[in-house]
Amino acid sequence: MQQHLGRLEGVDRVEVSLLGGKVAILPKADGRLDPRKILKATFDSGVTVVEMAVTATGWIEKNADGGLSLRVGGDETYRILPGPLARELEAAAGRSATVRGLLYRKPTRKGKKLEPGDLPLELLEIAGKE
Amino acid sequence: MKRLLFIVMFVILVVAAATARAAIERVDLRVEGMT
Repeated sequence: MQQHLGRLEGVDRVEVSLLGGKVAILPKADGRLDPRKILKATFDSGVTVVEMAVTATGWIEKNADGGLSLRVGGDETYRILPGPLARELEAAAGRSATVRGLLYRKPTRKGKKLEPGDLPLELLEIAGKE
Repeated sequence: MKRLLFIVMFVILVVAAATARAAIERVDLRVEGMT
């Protein structure tokens, strides 16, 4: 798995902790991590992803439906799931923020199947706002 | 004219700096079935 992930574009370092099944993926200084490719590469390596969390800095944008999104690149946007932390971020719309959140959680049997390409961001922490 | 040029350059630099900072800084996975 470490080799699978290490070969991905933009990846600098992969730190694996067998205890607790934790894997940290860190980008190159000028690299960009693609969570969708990371998720696919991890599954392709034969292990099951229980959770995927990201720490990201980006622009908070207001959607047409009133919700929020985090834009981390030209066309790389993540829809922010509603919740108390999302409400806290509403005032930061149009500005930059650093957040930590869950992009993927293993679906439960009765849970809704994840649509391809749909990785909504469930905020866990707001690390900083401008 | 010089002042206008300075303002335009300043805005471009600020936007470029902010855009460059926008990125995923770290991805943490919790996995099952790792050997």
